Amino acid sequence: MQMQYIPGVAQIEFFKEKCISCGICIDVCPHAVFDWLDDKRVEMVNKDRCMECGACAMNCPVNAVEVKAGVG
Amino acid sequence: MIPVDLADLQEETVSYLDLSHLKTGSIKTAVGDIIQIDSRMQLIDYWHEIRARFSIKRNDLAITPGLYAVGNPDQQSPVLVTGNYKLTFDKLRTELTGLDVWLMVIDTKGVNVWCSAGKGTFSAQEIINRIRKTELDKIISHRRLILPQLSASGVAARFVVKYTGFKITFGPIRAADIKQFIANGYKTNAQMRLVTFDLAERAVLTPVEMVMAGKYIPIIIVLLSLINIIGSANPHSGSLLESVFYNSLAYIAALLVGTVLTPVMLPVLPFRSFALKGAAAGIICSIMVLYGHEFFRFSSQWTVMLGNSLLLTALVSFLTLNFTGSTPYTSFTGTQKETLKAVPIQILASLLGLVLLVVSRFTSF
Repeated sequence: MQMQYIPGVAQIEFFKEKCISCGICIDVCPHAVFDWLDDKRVEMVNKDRCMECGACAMNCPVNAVEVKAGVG
Repeated sequence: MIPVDLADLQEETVSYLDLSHLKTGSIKTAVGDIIQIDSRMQLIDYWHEIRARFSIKRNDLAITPGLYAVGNPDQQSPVLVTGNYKLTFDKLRTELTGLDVWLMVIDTKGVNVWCSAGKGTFSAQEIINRIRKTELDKIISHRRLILPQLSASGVAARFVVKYTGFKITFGPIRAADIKQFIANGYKTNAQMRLVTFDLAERAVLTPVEMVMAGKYIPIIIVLLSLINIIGSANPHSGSLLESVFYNSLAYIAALLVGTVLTPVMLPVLPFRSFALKGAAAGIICSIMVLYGHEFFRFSSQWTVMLGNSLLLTALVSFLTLNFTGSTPYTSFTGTQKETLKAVPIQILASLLGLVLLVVSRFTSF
């Protein structure tokens, strides 16, 4: 089952205009926050599932994602 | 005077577990012999797991960083990168039976993959260092490293390729999916990428929570003793020792509810906030004391009932809030937000509870 924490608090921002749709964020996110939109474009589909691990921001080559990551 | 050797001191501060029981042979490579290790669990490995799960010298479970072989890997074999926490190493190697792979264990200071990635020790820099130290480029002919997905929060994969030429593929979260990942042509599927937190995964975390909460037992006993000693309004039915002992049982039950029951029951408890989930469980705990007050040697004064209910509810709420640090889905911002709201209420409820218990010793209310 998929668990959800308090909605509307996760500090993650997706800058669509910067995104080059390489898909690395989809590969590294453990909560499927990102997904393919019509198989070509990346979209942030579930912001409330984000736990701010920062994996997407760490690996985005064009800084299209910003996360205020916590420790651990 | 015994002269102190600096080298000895360094040896002492970083001590690694002896893995000689796992050695099954060695693999000859261009840069020398690499230890070949068993992929099965032995008795001592189970002991290490118990130590990790019950927090018995848990910070002493680091293994020597470096290259290890499972099966008979050669120049073309895959390289799996992992941290140097014994429990992590065991979970990984036991899923590799029948495969021929290299394990590159990096120095994460004896901490698991996800936590070390969050703390910055499972990093691109450490991987680059380790590639150089192990001379990996001379041992294998390909240039691909497989990393556990959960290390991605610490590893900017593009920097590793930039400085070493090694390309990183993020593999599955769980070691159990590695065989399928390899069979899949080194690709994960959506299910492999999703972190889970099922009943077994929650239950296995509870012993550490329980051990950590054990530190509150002396405080509970001291407070309950004081409350039983002061005042004279209501003489005890039994001895002081008997009262304190049975009173304490109610609070130890609350510790168990907050550290074992709430983690296990997490999805069925109402609310998303952990403090509220805990408060809900705490109220159940209070009802138990209300109905069982004779067993717990509490008098039936309303001040005693309400005082204990407030304290028990605050305690369970606090312990459950603590568990946010152990789950794989709570965000820092969310935890911070509810902590700032909940902790002052928990403190107020506890103080009010204590005042009521004190009042109960001097009055007939």
